[in-house]
Amino acid sequence: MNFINICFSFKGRINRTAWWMMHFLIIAISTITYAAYTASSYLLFITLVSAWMQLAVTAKRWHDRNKSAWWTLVYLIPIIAGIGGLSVWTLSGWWTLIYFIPIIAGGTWALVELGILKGTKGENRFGADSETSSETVIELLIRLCGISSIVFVFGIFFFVFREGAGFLFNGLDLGQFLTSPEWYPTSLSNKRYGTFALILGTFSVTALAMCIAVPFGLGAAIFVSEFCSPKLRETFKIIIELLAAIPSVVWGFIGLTLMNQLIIAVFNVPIGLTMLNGSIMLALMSVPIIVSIAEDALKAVPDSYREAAEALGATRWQVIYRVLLPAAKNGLLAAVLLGAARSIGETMAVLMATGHSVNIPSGPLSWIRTLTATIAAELGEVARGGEHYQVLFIIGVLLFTITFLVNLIADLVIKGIRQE
Amino acid sequence: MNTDMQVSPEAMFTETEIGKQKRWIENVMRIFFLVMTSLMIIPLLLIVGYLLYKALPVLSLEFLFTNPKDNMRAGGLWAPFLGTIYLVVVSLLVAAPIGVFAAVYLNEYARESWFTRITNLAVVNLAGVPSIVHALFGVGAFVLFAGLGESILAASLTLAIMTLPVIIASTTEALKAVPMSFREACWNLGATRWQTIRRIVIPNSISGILTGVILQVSRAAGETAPIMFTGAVFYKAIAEGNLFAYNITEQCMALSLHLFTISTQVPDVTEGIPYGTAVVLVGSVLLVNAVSIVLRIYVRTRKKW
Repeated sequence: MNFINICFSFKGRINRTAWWMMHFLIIAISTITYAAYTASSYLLFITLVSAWMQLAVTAKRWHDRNKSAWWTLVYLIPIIAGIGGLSVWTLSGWWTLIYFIPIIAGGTWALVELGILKGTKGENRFGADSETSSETVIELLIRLCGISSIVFVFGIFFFVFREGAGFLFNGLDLGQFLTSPEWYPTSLSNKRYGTFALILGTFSVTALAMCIAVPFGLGAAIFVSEFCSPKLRETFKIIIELLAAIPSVVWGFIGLTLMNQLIIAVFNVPIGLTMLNGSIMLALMSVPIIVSIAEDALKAVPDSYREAAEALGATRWQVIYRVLLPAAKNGLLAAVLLGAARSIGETMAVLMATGHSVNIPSGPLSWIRTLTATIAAELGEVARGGEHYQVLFIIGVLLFTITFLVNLIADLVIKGIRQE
Repeated sequence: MNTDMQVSPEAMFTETEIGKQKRWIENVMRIFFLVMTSLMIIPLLLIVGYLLYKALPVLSLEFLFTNPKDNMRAGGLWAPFLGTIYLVVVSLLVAAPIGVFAAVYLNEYARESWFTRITNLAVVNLAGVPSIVHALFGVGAFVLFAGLGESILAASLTLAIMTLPVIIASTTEALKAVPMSFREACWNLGATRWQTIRRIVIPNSISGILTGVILQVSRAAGETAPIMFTGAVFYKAIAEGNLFAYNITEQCMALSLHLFTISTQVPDVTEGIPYGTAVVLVGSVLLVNAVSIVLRIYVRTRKKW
C-alpha cells in the first residue's frame, strides 16, 4: 500500500503503528499550517483535507479489526451524550453524571479498538494482513529525516541571506565592504561598512593558530597511529576527545585570565589580549580535529606499504617520512583544512581573547577583531531591520560561504583518496 | 682455509653500526613525537587544575542552588544552570529522533548515488557552519519567521540543528558496526527492511547510538553563540529549587552565556565566581563526555562479534 492510499483511501487495512503515526502527522501538519497561514480559504482547505485523512485512516483501522468502517460513528456517542448531559446538568443535580458514562466508555472503547488492539491475523473480509502497512509511513519519515541536512544547509543560507538581502542589493557598496578597513557602523555623520580589517583579522588569527596547531596535531597523529601501544592509543584518544569537548566560552575565559597574564609576563606588554592569545586558544581547539582526521588518514594507508618499506630496511621514521606521509597526504591536507574551518568559524574564544578592536593586524601582539566576533558583539545592540543589522547578516553570508568552500574542498580532497 | 668467511654466532647477533643508528633514530623520533603529543595533554590538565584552584573558595552545593545576586556580582548559579538543562533537554528531544532516523536513512536505505553523496556532503557542511551563523539562522528562521520570539524553544531548535551532525555521525558509526551478515540472515527469513532495522540493526547498535546522543548533550550544553540572540538572556530571576521555573516560550539564562557575561560585561564580580561558573560548565560537559566514553568502552568489551 503506498502512502497516498494510506492517506486518502477508505479501502484496505492498516495496523496500530500506522494509525498512531498518521494521527501525529496530521496533527503536526495542521498545527504548523495554522501557525503559519492566516488566509481563511487555505485554512478551510487544510481542515477539510485533514478531516478526510483522519476518517480514511480510522476506517482502514476498523477494517483491520474486522469491523465495518461505520463504527466510526461511535465517536458521535460522546458528542450526543455530551450535549444531552450538559443540558440536563444545568437542570438537576449530581445524578446526571450518569450521562457522562457513555461519553467516557464510547471514547475509551474506540481508542482501545483503534489504538491498542492488534488487527486480525491473516486475511479478513477487508483485505490482506496489515502487519507491514506502517512501514510505508515509517520509511517516508526516515527519508524525510535523511534529506533534512540538505534542507537545513539550504535553510541556513536562505534565512541568513534573506535578512541581509535588502541592503546587499540596495545600498551596500560591495567594493567598500570587502576592501575598506573602515568599520564605522554607528558613526552619526558617515556610516562606513568596510570589513577588510575584520577579514584580515579572521585570516591572520587562523593562520597563526594553524602554525601552532598543524605541527602538534600532525605530530600527535603520527605518534598515536605509528608509535603507540594500543592501550596508550586509547588513552590519548580519550584525552584528545575531552580536549575537544571543552566549550569555546571556557577557552575564551582562559584566554581572558590565564593566557592574558602569561603573555603580559612573557612579552612585557601592557595587555595580553592579542592575536597571539586568540591563536593559542584556537590552536588548542582545532588540534583535536586535526589529530582525529589525520590519524584516520594514516590508518587508511594499507599495512602492506609499511611492511614493504620495513622489509627493505627502512627505519620507522623513514617509513613515515618516505612512505606514509606521501601516501596519506590528501587526508592530512583535509585535516588541516577542517581545522582551519573550525578556527575561522570560532566565535566566543576570539571575541574574548583577541582584544576586539578594529585594526589591521601588524604582528602577533597586535589587537585584532574577527568577522565572527563582530556579529556576536554587535547583533544584540542594533535595531532590527536597519542597515547595520543587515550588514551583520551579510557578514554571516560571507562566513557561511568561506566555511562552505573550505569544507567542500576538504571533502573533495578526501574523496580523491578513496577513488585512487 | 676460509675462517674469515665463517661468521661466529656472537657476530650474528651483535648489532651492526647501521642497526644501532637505526634504533637510535627510531627512539629519538619516538620521544620527539611523544613530547609533541604530551604537550597537548598538559594544557588540558593545567586548565582544569587552574580553574579548580581558583574556584575552590566558592564551590559548594549552595553555589549551585542559589540565584545570582547583587547584579550578578555575587550569589550562585541556579537560574543559568536550570536554563542550560532546559535548552539541552528540548534540543535533544528534537535532534535525537531526526538525527537517528537520518543516520538510518544514510546507512540502511541510501544507495551509492550522486544524491547520497550530496546528502553526506550536507551533513559535513552542517557540522562546519560557524556557530554564529547558526545564531543568525536562528534569529532569521525561528525568532522572526516562525514567530517564536526570543524563547527557549527558538534557542533549542537552533541548538538542535547545530548538533544534528554529532548524532548523525556517531549513529552512522554504530550502524556500520553491525555486520552485514546479520541483516542478510534476517532478510532471508522473509523480514522486510524496516523489520530488520527494528529487530536486528537497532538493538545491536543501541549503545553506540546512545553514545552519540550523549555527545550531543555535551555539545549543546557548552554552546554560547547560537543561543545568545535566540533565547538566552543576561539576567532573569526564577524561583530557587523549582525545577519547572522556566516556560519554554520565554527566555532563560544559560551557564555558557552567564560565564561570558560575568567575565566581560559585569565589573567587580566577587573573585572566584567566574572560575566557579567555568568549573561547573567544564565539569558537567566533561562528566557527560566521560559517561559516553565509559559506555563506548563497555560496549566494545561486550561485543559478541
